[in-house]
Amino acid sequence: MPNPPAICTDSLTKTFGKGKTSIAAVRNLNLEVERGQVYGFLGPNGAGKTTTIRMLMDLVRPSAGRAEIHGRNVREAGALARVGGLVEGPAFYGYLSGRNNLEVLARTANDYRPERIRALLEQVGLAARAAQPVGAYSMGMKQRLGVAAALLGDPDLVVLDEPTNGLDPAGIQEMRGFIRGLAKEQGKTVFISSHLLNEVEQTCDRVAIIHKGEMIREGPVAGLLAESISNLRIQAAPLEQAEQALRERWEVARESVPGDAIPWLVVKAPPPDSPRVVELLVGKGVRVHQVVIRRQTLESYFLAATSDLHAGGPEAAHD
Amino acid sequence: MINLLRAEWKKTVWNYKLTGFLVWAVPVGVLGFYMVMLMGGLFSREWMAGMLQTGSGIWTGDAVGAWGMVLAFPFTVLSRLLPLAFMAAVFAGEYQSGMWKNLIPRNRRALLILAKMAVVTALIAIALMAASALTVAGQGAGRLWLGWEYNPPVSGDVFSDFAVLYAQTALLGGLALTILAAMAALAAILTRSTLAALLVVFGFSTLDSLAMYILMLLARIFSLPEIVNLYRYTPQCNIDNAQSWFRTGAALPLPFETFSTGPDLGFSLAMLVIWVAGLTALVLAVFERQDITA
Repeated sequence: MPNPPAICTDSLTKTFGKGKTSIAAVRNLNLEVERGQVYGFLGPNGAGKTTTIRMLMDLVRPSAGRAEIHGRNVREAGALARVGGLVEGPAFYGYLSGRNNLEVLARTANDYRPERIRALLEQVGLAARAAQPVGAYSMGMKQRLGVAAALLGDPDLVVLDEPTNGLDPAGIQEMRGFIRGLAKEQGKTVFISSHLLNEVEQTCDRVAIIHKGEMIREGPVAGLLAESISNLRIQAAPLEQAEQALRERWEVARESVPGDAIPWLVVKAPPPDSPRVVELLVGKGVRVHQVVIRRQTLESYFLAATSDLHAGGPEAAHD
Repeated sequence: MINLLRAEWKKTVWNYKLTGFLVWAVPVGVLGFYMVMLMGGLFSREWMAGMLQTGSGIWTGDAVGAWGMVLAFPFTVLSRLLPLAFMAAVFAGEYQSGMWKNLIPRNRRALLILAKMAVVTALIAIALMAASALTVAGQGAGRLWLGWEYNPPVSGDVFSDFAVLYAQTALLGGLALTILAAMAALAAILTRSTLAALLVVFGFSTLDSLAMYILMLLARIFSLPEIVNLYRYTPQCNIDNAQSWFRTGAALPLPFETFSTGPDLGFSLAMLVIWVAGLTALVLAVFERQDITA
């Protein structure tokens, strides 16, 4: 294949245990991550995100199916040479300094370049603490060191499992910029797993939602949100006339907000319909005071999607 | 591979608490023993003479004697405890620190384990060689103080014979350590716990050390005298037998009716190599298939 995707999985499945006590952690997962994308892998705790990442990093053997990175089965020797990963939180030798930990990891990969280690420590803001034992690092510092470790070999694909865990708000913001920079400025493919929805929404181009080991949605973040139901909230008078006019075409509900003299009408209509909504109301002689578009966040979409299996459609838990 | 070995060396040696208590404690203990002996000699020559009796009386024997920690039955039943604890901690430590997930994607699993086995074995061998040198130095200093001879007088022939004997002993020690390292690795992979790995490898080492008596007991219980023939396949029998060949040029005398001497040297060395290769292959096969879930 001339330019295979960064990640491609085919019916990837992992079952732990045997017989009645077996647990299917991942079931028939088909993923395709194009090069240069920031790809979000979203799911609640226990959804199978980390098991999938472990299979991608050749830490766990698939029970069925296969995982390929840059067109090579991850189980082949050398298939992960251009991959860097931070899997399920950072782990280091506490008695070694940050710099020495990176040296050990670089030498393990037979790719020891002191200047690369120096540059990475600068990049993640740990240069001043590089000589201290990692045991004395805060969780956030370990997380940064973990990202530096993932980038040691200047990989084409970076797999980050919950990369903002343990970071303070400023650190989270910085990390998001850093991750976007990896793709935009350095052309790397970034695969991020997270249960933090706004993180994925703000960082990723595409997203897959996994729930109970199965992929339930996949697509561009913007596309997923556009296809979902958003609300128009309208204040208009006379209220009854407006409600009646709108009901002809959309689902409408009333919503009273404390402090607001006039109740709101909540119209289940996508944002592109708003001009037609206003046109219709004005045509019927209704005075429109306010129109507010309430876009669905990825969080509400995610909640809808993950409850979808039981409650019938992402609309069930919108907004 | 050099880089991998250097990585393994660094993370093992720089774990000062671990290596300090379980590896360097051996030469430091020898050094301490002779320092105390020499200081005690300031007050009592008799006490110092008594302490010097712990040696073999000849420097070649003292030098080789340090390897008894891993070779000389029945001493080995307990003296192997320190190196076994070290091995168990090194192999299980990667599970307990969660580091395998960082290491495995960077190199082949087989090489990661082999590098670990090599470094663990080399470190203990270095500690034993240091203990050899310190024993000879301590005995030499004490004997010089008391005006005793320390034979054999050093000559070209003596030194060359000694070098051969020492190399042979170190080779056997290396094989014994590699068998134990492979067993520790296997136990750590299966249990993922330092304590459990130590218990398993200590159990293996003790069973091996006591194999002769266990087989004799079984032969008596089941009235199957030929069962003792299995002893020739154990690591301990072949270590003892090879040492006997190296030191005396003859097979090891054995107290069995069915075979009263050990096998020939070639058989013993081959058996030890088979143990090393077999256990190592088993370790690699198990590790290759293992899911790293922590």
